[in-house]
Amino acid sequence: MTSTVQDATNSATGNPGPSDSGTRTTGILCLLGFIVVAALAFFATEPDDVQGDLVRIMYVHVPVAIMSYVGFVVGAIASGYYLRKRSPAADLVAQASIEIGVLAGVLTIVTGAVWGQPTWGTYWNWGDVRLVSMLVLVLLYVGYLALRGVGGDPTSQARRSAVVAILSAFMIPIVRNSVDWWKNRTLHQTSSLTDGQLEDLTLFTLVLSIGVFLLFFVWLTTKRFRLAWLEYQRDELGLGDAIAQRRAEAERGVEAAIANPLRDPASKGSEA
Amino acid sequence: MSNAASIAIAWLAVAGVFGIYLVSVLRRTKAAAKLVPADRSRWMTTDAEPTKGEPS
Repeated sequence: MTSTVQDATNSATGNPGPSDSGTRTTGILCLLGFIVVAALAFFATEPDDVQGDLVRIMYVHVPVAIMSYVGFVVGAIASGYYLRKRSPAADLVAQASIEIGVLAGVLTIVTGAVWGQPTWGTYWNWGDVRLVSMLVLVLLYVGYLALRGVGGDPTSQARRSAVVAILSAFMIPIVRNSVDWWKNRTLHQTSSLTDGQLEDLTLFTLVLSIGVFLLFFVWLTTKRFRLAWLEYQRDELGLGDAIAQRRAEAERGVEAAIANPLRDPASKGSEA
Repeated sequence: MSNAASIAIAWLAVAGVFGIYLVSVLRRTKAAAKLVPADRSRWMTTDAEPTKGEPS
């Protein structure tokens, strides 16, 4: 157990230790995974009967969409844990995973628009429930990140952010199921994974790509968490230093007053 | 825009955004690590004592 905790600790902080090789290995696995996925996507898989080569966008579009969902779900779970246990680490995990989820969400919209233009004849359609609901989801979490940037008491700020993260997560099933619930109000196809229309190698490449992106999410979240933790500690140290400085100044003032009571304004007042 | 351009933009956007983000995170981490003592850079200690700043 201790070893596991130590490994996790070092993974998160990058301190010297066996865990560093763990994160390094994960990073190398991600890199190799991306190379394999790209090779399969561009050289091994066949073009789609209908879309032709455009189907190759699917190998990044679907994984980043799932990555964004996972980022938001992890963020909501970590936020729930924060509200329950008041653990600063949980709050920082939420921040890290949601930040990456937002990036992945923006990339989902961008790659979807780039795919949509040659396929549907338009980059964007405001009447499309999938597109608009995804945009709303991303904007909700952009709001979460903006809320974190607002100054004030760190504890109440973390509490407010956690509530927003949890409430925003209720949008995820709406986005996910929008293509099934409002079939006549979207150009978007149903799930590529479950509609059973993908050939073996295409499906394998897509599943591999999703796996590699999820591993990348874990690795990237670990890196981002480490940064968040260091910034948290830096701010704590800054606050601690400021308090210590004020205390030292106050103590010096008291000592000076004891040594020379005539300089004390109150003493002067009583003398007068 | 040709199909090849659409595919290239989609892939490069994903690689580029995550690449830039990763470099930014690593650089900021390096800078922040210089300001935090090693004993406080761990988010969890291995013994029963919580790290300063963690709830007891």
